[in-house]
Amino acid sequence: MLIQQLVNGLLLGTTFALIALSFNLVVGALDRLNFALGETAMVSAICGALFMSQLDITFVLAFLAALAIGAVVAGITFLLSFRFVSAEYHTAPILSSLGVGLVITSLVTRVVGSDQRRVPSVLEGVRIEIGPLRIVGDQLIILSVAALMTVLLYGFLNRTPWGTAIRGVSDDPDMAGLLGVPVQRVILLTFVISGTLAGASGLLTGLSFHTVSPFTGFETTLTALMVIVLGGLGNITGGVVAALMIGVIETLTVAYLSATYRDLIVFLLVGITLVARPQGLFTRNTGVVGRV
Amino acid sequence: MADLQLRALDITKHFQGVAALAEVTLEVERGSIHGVVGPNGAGKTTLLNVMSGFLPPSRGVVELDGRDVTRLAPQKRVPLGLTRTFQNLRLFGGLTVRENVLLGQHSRARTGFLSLWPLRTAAEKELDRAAEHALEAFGLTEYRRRRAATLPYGLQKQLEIARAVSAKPRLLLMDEPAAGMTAKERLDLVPRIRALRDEGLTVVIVEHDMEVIGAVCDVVTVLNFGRKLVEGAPKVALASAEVRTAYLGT
Repeated sequence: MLIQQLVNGLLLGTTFALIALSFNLVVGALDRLNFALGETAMVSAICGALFMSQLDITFVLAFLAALAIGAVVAGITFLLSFRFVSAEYHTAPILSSLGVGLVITSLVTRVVGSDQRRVPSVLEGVRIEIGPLRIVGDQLIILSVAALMTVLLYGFLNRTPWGTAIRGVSDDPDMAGLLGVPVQRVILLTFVISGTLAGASGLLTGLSFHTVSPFTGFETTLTALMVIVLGGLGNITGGVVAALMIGVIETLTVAYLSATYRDLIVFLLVGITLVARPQGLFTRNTGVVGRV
Repeated sequence: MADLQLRALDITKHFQGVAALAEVTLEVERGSIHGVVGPNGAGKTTLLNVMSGFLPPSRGVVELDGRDVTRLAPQKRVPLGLTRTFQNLRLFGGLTVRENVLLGQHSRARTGFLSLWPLRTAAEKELDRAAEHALEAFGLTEYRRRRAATLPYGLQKQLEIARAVSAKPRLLLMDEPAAGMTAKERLDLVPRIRALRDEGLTVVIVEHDMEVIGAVCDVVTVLNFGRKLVEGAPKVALASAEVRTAYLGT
């Protein structure tokens, strides 16, 4: 059933879209990648899963806690890996944020163990059937929450003074500073929002597979990198479209070819994109190599 | 005694041993429009960069309202009421015209993190009105929703001035505001700069266009080869024999 696989792919893509938005916000603000965002998503997801299964709190509260944890972890990563690292050393924040990611994984495995954690179903028994198409309750939650967060982010960036400031700092931080915009505070805010999105993506992905592992951080980062290379580095809308594309491609590959080809096909697609359009499919400016 | 808002005293600036400015003193009276002119390479933009903090002087002192700001970074001069425009435009190209102006007044907005446009406080509504006023004053109202990068060059110049003014500075340094403008746009610029002065703003303007300088300035300083040649009322200063020699080489 192609239509069912397409819908499943789009649902998977929505969680990729959140983590890609998260990466792209930081790229926009600093022209740097925060390699600890995958682990930020993981720690939020693990905490959310533990809150739901051990403390028996509702999904809504666990989700809000995951957002808060993502925000705090991303804020700390900014202070440790970016704020006080000289802009002259391009590789320093990359290595430093990779290090922060490793520390997060170590801390999580030390504190809660290295077992996979179960994410309980939220709307058990709820399902919508339209002809051959079937969408279960958890998928509805994932779709609606991811869509809501994306709309909120767009609204925030385009309709609020701080959102305008984030876009201004992304465009020309020096000029923004000359106009009295508190650039470092704006960048911190960008990291915090990016961490919130990573947290949301982590728990929603966990809800999608009903399990989370402390070792998925780098895998998440890798997926996000594929998405943002395809969509265009720093291009927020391009990232969302590329995320949905990759979600569909992965799902169709697993359904009609083999699960073993899943990553291979995406890597091939990204490789071809890097050669043919290094600026990504949806961006006109400079390519990946010249930027981060 | 004159009420001086800006003093650049004995400014010398060397670039790799070559003096771009040599002991230049500029005293700008509060509420005046002070022009700085001179042939190419005279040191006009260098002087503007030193006064706005983009270049440290090799020697000399810059005072703003009597306070020594010589070593203060450009960003730290903004809260003291000094802002500037650039010869090469530095607009936020991806933002709309209105957003550029709104960002210009960000420092005055005191907006909380949750402040949203539709849920505005009275103070924020006042800022909105100020932004609309700035757009109207510079003939940009009809372009308010367009991305700044898509505007014609002359309008981008107007937008840069509107954005600088919306920060409500007390002193505005303008680097060749008329460059690249059409004759009509240059003509419109003159009353707009005068209106800024009438609203209490002090303006220092570096410009090549002598018509604009003659029409707006209260005082003109002429530089040549990094030295001050003449200073005075435009008609007198620009007509002096030294200035004619500097420009025409005769």
